[in-house]
Amino acid sequence: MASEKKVVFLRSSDGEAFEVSEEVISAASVTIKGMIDEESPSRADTAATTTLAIPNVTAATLSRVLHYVNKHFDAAAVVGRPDDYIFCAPGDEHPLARFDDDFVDVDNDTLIDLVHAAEYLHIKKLFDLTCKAVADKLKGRTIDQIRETFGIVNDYTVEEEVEVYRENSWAF
Amino acid sequence: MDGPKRTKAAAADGFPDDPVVKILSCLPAKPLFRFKCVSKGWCDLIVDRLGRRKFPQTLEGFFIDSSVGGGVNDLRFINLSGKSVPLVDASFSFLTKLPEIKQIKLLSAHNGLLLFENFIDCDRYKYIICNPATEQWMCVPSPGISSHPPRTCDCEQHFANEVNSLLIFNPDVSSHFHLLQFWHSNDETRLVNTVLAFSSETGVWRNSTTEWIKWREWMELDEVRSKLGYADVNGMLHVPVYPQPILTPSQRQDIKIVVADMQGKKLMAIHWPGLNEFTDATFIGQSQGHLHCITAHKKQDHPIHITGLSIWVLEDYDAGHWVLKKSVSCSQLFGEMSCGVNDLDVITIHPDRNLVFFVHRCSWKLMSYDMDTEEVCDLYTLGHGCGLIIPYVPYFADVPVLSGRASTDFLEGQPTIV
Repeated sequence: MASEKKVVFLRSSDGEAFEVSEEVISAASVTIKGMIDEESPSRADTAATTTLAIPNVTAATLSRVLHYVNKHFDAAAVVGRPDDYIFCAPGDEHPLARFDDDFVDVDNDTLIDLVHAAEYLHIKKLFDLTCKAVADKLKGRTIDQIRETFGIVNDYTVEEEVEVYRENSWAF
Repeated sequence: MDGPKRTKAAAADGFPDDPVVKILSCLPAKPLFRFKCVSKGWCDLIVDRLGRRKFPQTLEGFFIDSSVGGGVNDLRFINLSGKSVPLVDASFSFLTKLPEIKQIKLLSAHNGLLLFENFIDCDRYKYIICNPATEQWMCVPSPGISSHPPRTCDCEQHFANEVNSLLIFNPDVSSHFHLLQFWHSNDETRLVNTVLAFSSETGVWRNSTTEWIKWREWMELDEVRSKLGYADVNGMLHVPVYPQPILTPSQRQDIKIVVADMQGKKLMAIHWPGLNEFTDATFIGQSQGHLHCITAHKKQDHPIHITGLSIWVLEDYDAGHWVLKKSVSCSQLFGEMSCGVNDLDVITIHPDRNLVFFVHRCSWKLMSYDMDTEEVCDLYTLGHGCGLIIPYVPYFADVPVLSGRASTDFLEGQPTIV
């Protein structure tokens, strides 16, 4: 029965709490596993559930992250070998490949938020997936669009910029 | 609550230091180089990571075999980047210092791995597959078949023409490499009589002749012209095949590209673009993920002379839709109206750029032609009689099958064909 499983609550930066299986989130997130391990002496054998503050992640992003985590890390829900699917040969589609494609089919800001959340929560599979998705989006962008996306200020002098464009002109 | 203590755990399991680094490492070479223009910080980061071999690599240079009879001492490596120190030590001392290695000859290269033939003595030889970037290597026994031509010391050059060996390695598809060999008959027809395939996964040679012969007879195709090159696109190998024995003008359009999987199986064919009685198939290769073919235009009144090249790209692979990407005349390439059909060799097309590399055999220069700017550059002056020129894209990652080195299975095992 699900009621026998331990759960934890994660409180997003904007105050919303999400329930998740302790086992599943511990398998997924190194960061949260660390937090739970730190808490555990004080909560041993108590019935009280733990609430962990996730100050860097908003409710909108956290709910997406947990959707991913429940799909990928809940042993009961995962079909096949979850760690191998990225390396599957073309054609041997992993059952979750489609889910992953849909999962990252979101706007830029949402995707960047997911990258940061995956980094902060230390969920390597999600980090790899979202970084790859960002890279796919960046491929066709202009230099100005890249600067805008990442909030980068162009620090080249005019002469330096001419030179770096000349050196890499083949790539345009 | 304090922030999570991530640093230690991060170091332990190699979690990437920075999302930007991770994102950039997922990019192909072309946008990666372009993004050096974003800022000094990005430029430094990209240059640094490229230097530390963390990012995808591109064409770095060429191995040039200037020998007639073969032998590693005649190999040179020239950088494309203009740096004075060669990227690769072309003496291959990590191989030649080994007692079991006598005389090696470079045959083929693909995605960072090189295929050498290792002469042991007149009748015995093996193959060596190595990665010069990591100095990993392993031996593969010769197939040891009875149908191959007798091997004698004084006919190396003659012999070398009798078998075409292709090394196939695509780490995106498989961590294993494959060898594909086309054995030609010794008579003037030079028909392919045996096709062999080796897979590092199984460790054995497999006879694929039936598959290819069946195909050949149906298509009336005989000689595999692997000197035109071969390409891997979408994880499939593309090898041009020619009708034989004598090409009549109407047969020229029969030149096909056989598409096989990496083990030389599952054959099908697609047509070579732009062929007619006034054109010749010249080169096949891969650039920017697309199959490219180059055809030469022949002088209408003097068909042993060519006047220029057409570069075709298979834009839509599934629809088989070829697009003429660029045409260029001999006068644009080297200032002469025409040249003999054998005086212009296309060496390769850059994997990430619209750049064609060719040798003009009258001046013995290795040159490049930029399809976008129409600029022609002299890259290197070759010696007369220069043989093989093999493009090299480094691969810095570990190739597990090579790390076994003198794997007894491969080194000592009896040659087997299944």
